[in-house]
Amino acid sequence: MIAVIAANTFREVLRDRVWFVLLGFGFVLLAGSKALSPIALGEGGRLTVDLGLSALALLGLLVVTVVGASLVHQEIDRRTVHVILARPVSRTVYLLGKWAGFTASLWVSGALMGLGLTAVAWWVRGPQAVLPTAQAVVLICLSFAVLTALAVLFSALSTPLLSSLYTLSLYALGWWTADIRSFAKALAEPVRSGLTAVSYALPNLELFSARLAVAHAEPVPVLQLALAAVYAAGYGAAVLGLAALAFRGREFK
Amino acid sequence: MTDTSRMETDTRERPGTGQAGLGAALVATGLTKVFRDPWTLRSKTAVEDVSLTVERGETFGLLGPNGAGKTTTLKLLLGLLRPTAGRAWLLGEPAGSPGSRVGVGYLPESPYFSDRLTAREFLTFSGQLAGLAQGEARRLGGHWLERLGLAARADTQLRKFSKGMLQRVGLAHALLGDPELVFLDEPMSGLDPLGRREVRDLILECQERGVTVVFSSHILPDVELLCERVAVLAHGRVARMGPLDELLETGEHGSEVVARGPQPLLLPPRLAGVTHEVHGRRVVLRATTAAALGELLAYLPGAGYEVESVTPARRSLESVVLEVAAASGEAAVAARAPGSGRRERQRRAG
Repeated sequence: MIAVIAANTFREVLRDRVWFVLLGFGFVLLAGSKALSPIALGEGGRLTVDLGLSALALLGLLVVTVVGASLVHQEIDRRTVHVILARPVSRTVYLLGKWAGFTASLWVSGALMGLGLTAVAWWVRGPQAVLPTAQAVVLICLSFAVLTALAVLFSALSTPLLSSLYTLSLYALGWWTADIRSFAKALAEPVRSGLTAVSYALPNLELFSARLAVAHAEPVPVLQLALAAVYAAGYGAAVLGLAALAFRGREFK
Repeated sequence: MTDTSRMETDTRERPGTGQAGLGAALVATGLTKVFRDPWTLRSKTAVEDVSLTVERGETFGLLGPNGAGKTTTLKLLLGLLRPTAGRAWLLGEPAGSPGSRVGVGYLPESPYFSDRLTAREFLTFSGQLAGLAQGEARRLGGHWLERLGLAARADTQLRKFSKGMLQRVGLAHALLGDPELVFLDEPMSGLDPLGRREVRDLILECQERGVTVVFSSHILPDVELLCERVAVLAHGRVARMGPLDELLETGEHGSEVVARGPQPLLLPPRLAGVTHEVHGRRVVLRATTAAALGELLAYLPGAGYEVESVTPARRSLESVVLEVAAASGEAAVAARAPGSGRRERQRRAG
């Protein structure tokens, strides 16, 4: 049943006009990164790949905050959720289906853009840049799974605007988790423990970064890839569990 | 234990396995829903102590003015809302659990569907959610689109559909996969006379197939035509419930007597309450009480009249609903009136 809802969500998301606008924007950024390379004083190839990866991550973030933040809320608001939940479908299955379909749509787009970017990397930096670029794309796609889980959680509980703000805030904080922990060490108890706990509750997005490997055109360590995959699965499951718990009590007037 | 968890997990007293309501399609006991505004903390009782039993194969009407609690009751039964108190079972399963919705179809009031899907895609999706395989769901979806005159628009996105067309898609969604129990919330809404007739025919077909139909409607002639029993809700409570014939039966509302005899008919003063209309050699007389009917039937043969028929004069369902609405409105006004409190009761007692 999760697959049925996921397939339907996938189809619906891909038919959203906003999606096409953002995808177009992503390709423009990708092309723009190649156009900027001549000004990088010999580092043009690296800059192109770096900007391409940033464009991919930014595109994902935009889709999550614009489309994902209203994913469930819109269905509640338009009452389309009534016809689904009046079928023998549990609310948890519904949320998991929405998450899976949305994540799949991001992965497909990420894979398409990633293929293009990998080809560009080969062209501008040679064959040694292909593997690190492809691995960086995989890591970015894994981070999408975490972001979509957060978007589903907020979308199930809040309005699209607030969901976008919450998701963006957590995205920003997610890049500073290590800094927050370092900062906490300088503080007294119990603030230190509290802040450390908060840093672990935030998504650790640094785990999904392959900046160094891409810069040196070296493969991303397998351990980092495995850790990122396990973390995305675990963190995503925890957030979706929280979403399911909160969604159980939701009423549909 | 919260109401939520009780609705989802309590399977101890299944009406399908106990004495009362054995085999019933729907059982609700003391269903109550109170909405609380989280900001003002004000509460509003939408449904109060609703108890219903609908037998398998029965067509049951939920009637009442706007805001009476019909849609809320249906949503409580389908688990879209959690009851504040009370319990319900659908086809023997505790309402609120996904299992209770197996074999259940639902047409929401003013149905909304994802407008990015085509009618065929939506019905395939709906059928799959009902447990059908994709191919079967697609085939049955196509069948229903054909049946409801939408075959030519099967591959049009739903955002391009009119209200009446969406209502038809909603009906197809509710009836897809041969459900045992169907909830139809205002199924005639937005339909032209032809569409209404099609819906009536569909409900009659359901009756023939033994499907249990629970529907709410404001179009009372259709309810009279289709329902075996009805419940009239007012201010969230069941004000009247029973077989349609009983609700519409005369009782104190008189009988109609058709007699043939010499004209003009002169009634004695003791039958002053009896009204009559002359139709050629026939006279149609209406007696408002059982006593007047007795006296009339005793008088007519002596006056040279042959009584052809005596039928209880039926009230219209509309009059029953209006009566309930008026009574509940008066009760609500009385409850809000300044003198309706303790002082008023003391005055009456004194």
